[in-house]
Amino acid sequence: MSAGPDQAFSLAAAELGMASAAWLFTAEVDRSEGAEGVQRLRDALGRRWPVLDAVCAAWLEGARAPEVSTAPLLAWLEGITRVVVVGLEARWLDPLVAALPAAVRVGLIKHSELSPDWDRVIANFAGRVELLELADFQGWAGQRSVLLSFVYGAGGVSGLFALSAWVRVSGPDVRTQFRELIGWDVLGVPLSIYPRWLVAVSPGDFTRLEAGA
Amino acid sequence: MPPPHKHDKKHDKKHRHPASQALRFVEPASLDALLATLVPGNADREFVQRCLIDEGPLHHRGANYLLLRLLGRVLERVPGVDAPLEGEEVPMRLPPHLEDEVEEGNFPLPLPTRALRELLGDDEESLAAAVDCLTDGPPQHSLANVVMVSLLERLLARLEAKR
Repeated sequence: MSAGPDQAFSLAAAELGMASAAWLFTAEVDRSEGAEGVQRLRDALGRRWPVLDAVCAAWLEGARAPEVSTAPLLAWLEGITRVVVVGLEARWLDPLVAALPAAVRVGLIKHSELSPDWDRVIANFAGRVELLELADFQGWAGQRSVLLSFVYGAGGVSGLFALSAWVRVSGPDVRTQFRELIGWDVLGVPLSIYPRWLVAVSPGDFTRLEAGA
Repeated sequence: MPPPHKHDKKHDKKHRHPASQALRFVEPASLDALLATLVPGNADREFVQRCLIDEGPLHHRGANYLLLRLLGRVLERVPGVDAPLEGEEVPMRLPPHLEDEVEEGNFPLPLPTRALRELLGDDEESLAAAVDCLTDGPPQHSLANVVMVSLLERLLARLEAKR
């Protein structure tokens, strides 16, 4: 496979999120090339993009993109005034932002090894989401503020993983400045390759772990 | 493997509980019941309890739990009707350059000042210094101080009412 698909997936993963891009690419490849195409996609990009590998493998076993479930998460967000989002998964963040009351401010930590075009990312939310720098995101701390991180693999046996941004923002100083530290699992299928781009974390790092589907 | 350090044996005897067992005596529900008299909101109370016994060094978590439970037991033995507690906000430890930007940067539990004011003879400067001492530091310290002062203020008021 040429560098084209890798570059395309890299861009999509950066600006949509790895799980969001993985389900999208897998569905599109299946639509145009069938299961053999999904297998080729997995073989070509899976080692570099383990979340895509997991989604391709699950797809070939019959899994399809799960319906996003925001209801359990919204129950934990009742009464809060700010949500600081760590990591990006557009497939999950879009409906969450739409479901939150307008008075709840939503911030997105501007940190990613995948170097997205942040202006383009934030434009997708039509002014509803604000970008936050690592240097000043604690300006959003408070007794009714929540840190929300996308996590991967909460239900699997290979461990729980988060984006490196989570490790950067969840130090002992920050942990007691936010009411809740919530992990939202967006993968829902098992990882079979150690996930580069992600960092192993402990379930105990979070006050809540919720399934995103 | 290198030979054991001469202090290791003594140290091991003194600290014989592995980390996984260091907090074996902690019953979160018992502390929750005590805190419910101070922080009625469930989400607020969970936040306070996490700061007291789920964050920071193990020895602080265990010490907080034990001291607060003991104070709670003392209070139970002096029945009485409690007046509302009023006092000073307890700020989170935020980076100095952001302190003025955070609108809700206080913990959901104030430091009551009635008993402190009596102790310090209505000296407002001393009271301000005392508040500073009690609310500074990470929340394993500051919030534990606040809960202890709250329970002690209630205890003193109940004892005074019996005189």
